[in-house]
Order: sequence, then structure tokens, then C-alpha cells
Amino acid sequence: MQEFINKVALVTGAGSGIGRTTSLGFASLGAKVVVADINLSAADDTVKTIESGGGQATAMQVDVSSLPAVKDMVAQTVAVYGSLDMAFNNAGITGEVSSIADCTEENWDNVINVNLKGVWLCLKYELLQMLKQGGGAIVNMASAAGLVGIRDRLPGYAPSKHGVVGLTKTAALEYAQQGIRIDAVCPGEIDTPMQGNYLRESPELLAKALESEPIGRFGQPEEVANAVIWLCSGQASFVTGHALAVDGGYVAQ
Amino acid sequence: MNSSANPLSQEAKVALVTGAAGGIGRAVAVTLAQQGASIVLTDQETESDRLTQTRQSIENLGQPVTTIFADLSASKEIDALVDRAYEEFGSIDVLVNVAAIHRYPDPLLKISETDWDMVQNVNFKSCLRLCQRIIPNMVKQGSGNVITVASDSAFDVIADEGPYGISKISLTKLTAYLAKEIAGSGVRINAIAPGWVRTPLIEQYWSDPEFMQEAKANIPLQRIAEPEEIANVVLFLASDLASYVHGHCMVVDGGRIAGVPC
Repeated sequence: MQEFINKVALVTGAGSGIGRTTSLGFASLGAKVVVADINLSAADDTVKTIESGGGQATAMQVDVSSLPAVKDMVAQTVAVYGSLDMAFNNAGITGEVSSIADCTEENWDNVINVNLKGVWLCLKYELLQMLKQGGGAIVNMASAAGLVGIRDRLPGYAPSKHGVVGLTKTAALEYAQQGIRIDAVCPGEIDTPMQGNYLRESPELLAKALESEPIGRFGQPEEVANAVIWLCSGQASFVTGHALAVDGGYVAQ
Repeated sequence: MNSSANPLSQEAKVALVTGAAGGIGRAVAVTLAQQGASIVLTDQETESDRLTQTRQSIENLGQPVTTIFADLSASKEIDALVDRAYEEFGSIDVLVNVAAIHRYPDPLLKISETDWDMVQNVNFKSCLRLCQRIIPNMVKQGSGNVITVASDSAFDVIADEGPYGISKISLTKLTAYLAKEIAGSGVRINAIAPGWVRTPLIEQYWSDPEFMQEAKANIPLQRIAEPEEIANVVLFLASDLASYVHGHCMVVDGGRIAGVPC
């Protein structure tokens, strides 16, 4: 995939897990990568890894739920690298474990602000830049929980991810004419720090999660990263508005 | 993804492609051959000339290729096809179900039993039979890929296209069921749902400028796909890039279905 050489990719939540792995993937294919994370030292670490492999990357500390921060992130991307060709709006949180009835307003707002409003804000400023350039490709991080309800007592998570799928389809319809493709990935259980955070608390949930995967194992971050990068490539030229399940068959069963 | 290895490589694989004389089937066969696969081409004997063209394209790439005629509405012919493919190549690592018939207009309240059986036998039952014959061997070898071409019209309801749409939505369900039946085997199975594609199957539509103007208005990308764009998605699913994609139906329709009730 020579087409990524010298292209500019922006990845949020790039300090760990799938975001980090996708950033490394883009960089290994020759793209210049903006590595955004709310945790600057994590972003720095991703950048160091990219640079030690001979790639180019820039770290940015960004809270995706903040409009000025996201606006600045895209402006800085263009200032540093001159354009924005691909974006992976990946930053997300699970929120606190709770029932819906006991969920606090703060817990709800946090999840919706990061997972849904954050993707909208990123889209907003990425689209404004890509419209100027006449095209681009964007992948939003949804989840298998963006396609079906979940029983994990994470009250805002599935609602926020369903929202990301709806936002993705709507944005795809609106910007296809302008040469911008917009898709979502819907990972199932992927072996990442975020997964660990809530599954570690319950061996029961962990066992159940593993049993529920028709492919018979959890996914690796690389497997989602590969799908994201492929969606950003010319190979996916007729794919837009699609929510690609990268879930080992979980939602299909 | 790593830049040093080709993540799309199909080296050392044998792929069986049905409907290989047609637009999508030919593009799939050529695309897989370009990535190093050996190819078994199949289509009806009446498609002999066009199947020969597909074969020629693959021979030009220097890849091993064989042509087997089969009428997929007959289980016996499917069995003979599979037997011969195994005789010639020893294994089938990638099965791509492309063959389909499309009748239009074809209202459900008027279709005869004979015509219904023909559509379902070719579009759906042949895929089930091919899966029954080939997947157990893939499971035995612990690897393999099945990709079945459904249609985005599986999802919405297009007037007078019921028999076709029903055959296609059945394929997505077949894919999901089989994904579960072969859980943990190392074999993956997925479907794709193309929208409008520039293929001989629907040439009567895309060659009509008036019809196309209306069709394009319903496709967000405002064009129809080239067969190669569908083949690229088949290649993705057949490759290690899609190693955690299983039981999924991938829509490849320029955004059409994202904006219609279904």
C-alpha cells in the first residue's frame, strides 16, 4: 500500500490500544501521523515508537469533548504537515459501571461527551479541512455495542456508540458527493487496556465474553487497525456509510 | 499492517470462483490471481466465450487456472464441479460465491413455482451446497475463507424484486449461521452486499442514460461501482487484514443503504 506515503493521518486516543496500534500502522506505511490523546505522555510514547522505527509523527494533548481543543488539533495538524488526508476518530471511554437507573448525570455526560460529541467535533473540523482539499477518508470508532445492546452495566456506552453509527451514516450521505468517505468500525472484544478496565473486575464477564465470540478468541488491536487502515485506502473506494463489524462474528450470531 | 510484507497476499491459495464469466466474478478471479492465487473458474457452458476471456486474463498473469462448466441449479453438477476442483488442485482455500440470476420485474404474487425454484436454487441453494462440500475440508485444514456475494437490495425493499432480494438476504443469514457452526475452526465466512455495479448482469439498466440518472441520484457517491471495486472488498475479506471479521455482511454500495429504510 504505497498510497499512504507522505499522506497525513490523524488518530485520536492514539496513546494506547487500538489508537496506538493504528498510528503505528499508518506510520509504517509512510504516512505522517498526528498522535492525539488526552494523556500527553502516552501520546509522546506512541510518537517515540514511531520515530524509532523511522516514521514521522507529532504528539498532541487533546480532550476531544472540547470544541476549542479539537478545532486547534485540526489547525495544528495542517500547520505542521500541510494537510489532513485520513482521520481515525477513536478516542472513547466506557464510563463508570452502573445500572441505568443509578447512573449519575456526570457519568452519562462524560461518556456521551467523549464518545459521541467528541466524534462529532472531530468530524466537524476534519470535514471543514477535507472540503478545502477536495476529499479524504474518515473512520469513526463505534463498537459492537453500536449495533446491539449490551449487558455490561455501562449505561452510556452502547447509546453513545449507536450514536456514532448514526452519525457516520448521516455524515457519509452528506459528504459523499464531495469525495469524502466516512465509515465506522465496530470492534467486539479486543485485547486492550480499555477492555481490561471493566472485564478485569469480573472474571465471570470475562469468561462470558470469550464464550460469546463465534471466532473463538478475543481480537488483537492490530486486527482492528488493519480494518481501519484498509477503509482509509483506495481499496475501499466504493465503501462509505458502512459500520464494519470487526468482532469475530459476535453481532451476526 | 506492516509495509514489508504484502498483507493482501493470496500466494499458495486455491480459489474457486462461481459466476466467473460475469463482471464481478471475473474481477474477483483476476484480483485474487494478481495476488498469487491459483484459480478454479466456473460458470454455465452457455457462458463459454466469456469464461474463456476470464481464463485468458489469468493465464496472462501466469497463474494456474482451470475452467469447469457447471449448472449451479443442479446439485449433481455442483458435486462434480467440487470433485474436479479437488482432483486438479488438491485443496480449495477460498470459495467466492458470485453466481446469481436476476429477473426483473418479478413480483412475488405472480412468480411461478418453477421460476421461484430456479432463482432460489441458483442464488441460494447452490451456495449452501458448495459450503457443505467445501467448508468441512477447510475446517480440517484449520484455515479457509468463504465470501458470498449478496446484494444491498437484500436489505431494502425494491418493487418487484422480491425473489432476488429474498435469495440475497438468505445468503447473509446463511453466512451468519455458518459463522457460528464453524466457530473457532480457523475458517472465516463473510458476505458482501454490492450496490449498483457495471456488470453484464444489469447492463440493460446502466446502459440506459435516463435510468442511470435516476439511479445515481440514489447513490451518495453518485456513480455506480466498477467490478474491481467489489473485487477489492472480496480480497480484503480473503486476506489476513480481515482476520477478526467473521459472519459479517460488508456493504459496498457507495452509501446507498445508509440512507434508506431497511
